[in-house]
Amino acid sequence: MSNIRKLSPNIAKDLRNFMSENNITTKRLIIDLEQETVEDADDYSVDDILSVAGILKPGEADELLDHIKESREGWGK
Amino acid sequence: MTNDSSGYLLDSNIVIAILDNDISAIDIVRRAQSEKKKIFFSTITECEVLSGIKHHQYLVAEKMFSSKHVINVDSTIARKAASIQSEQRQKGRKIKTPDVIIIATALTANLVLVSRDSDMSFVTNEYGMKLISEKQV
Repeated sequence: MSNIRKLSPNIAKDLRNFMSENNITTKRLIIDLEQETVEDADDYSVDDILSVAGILKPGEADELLDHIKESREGWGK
Repeated sequence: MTNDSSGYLLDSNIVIAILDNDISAIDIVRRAQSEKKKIFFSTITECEVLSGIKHHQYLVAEKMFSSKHVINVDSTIARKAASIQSEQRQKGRKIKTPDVIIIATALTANLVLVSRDSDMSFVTNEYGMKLISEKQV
């Protein structure tokens, strides 16, 4: 049995308006009702990840790795 | 690398390498984009990284942990992790809980696991997972 459900015209209109206002042109969306967000299912952008590259100062990466190593030691095996 | 997975799950050590501007780690991110694959992190990684960085870096670093990249640890992942941990314990291999949750997340979501942790190398032989390991990144 298919899980596809027909949207009411009003909801479809509101969604189209929302997408237009947010410059979303994709035809596939992920609607997260818990977070109350709409996400482009075909969004492969990584700008948000690349924007944080290099924020650590010299030596801080090793400190962070040590922090994680120590925190994992506390977990069970 | 071509594969039929839906994306890559980056372990905490790879995220730190990105924060450290490590070229190999950044290449993985760019590779994913060129392959039209998505990048994901476990909430385990989100916790580990954000708890360890300096306060003034927090607001910058948290940008990468948006809902489009983060996979929550749900009951399906927890049970898969429990199963793996139990199986491996019987074989004499002890895996820390954060490690096995990250492995189970990649396995459940059909993602390529990217990690520099040599302890995770068994996943390719034992679970048929795709792993980009320390030798490649």
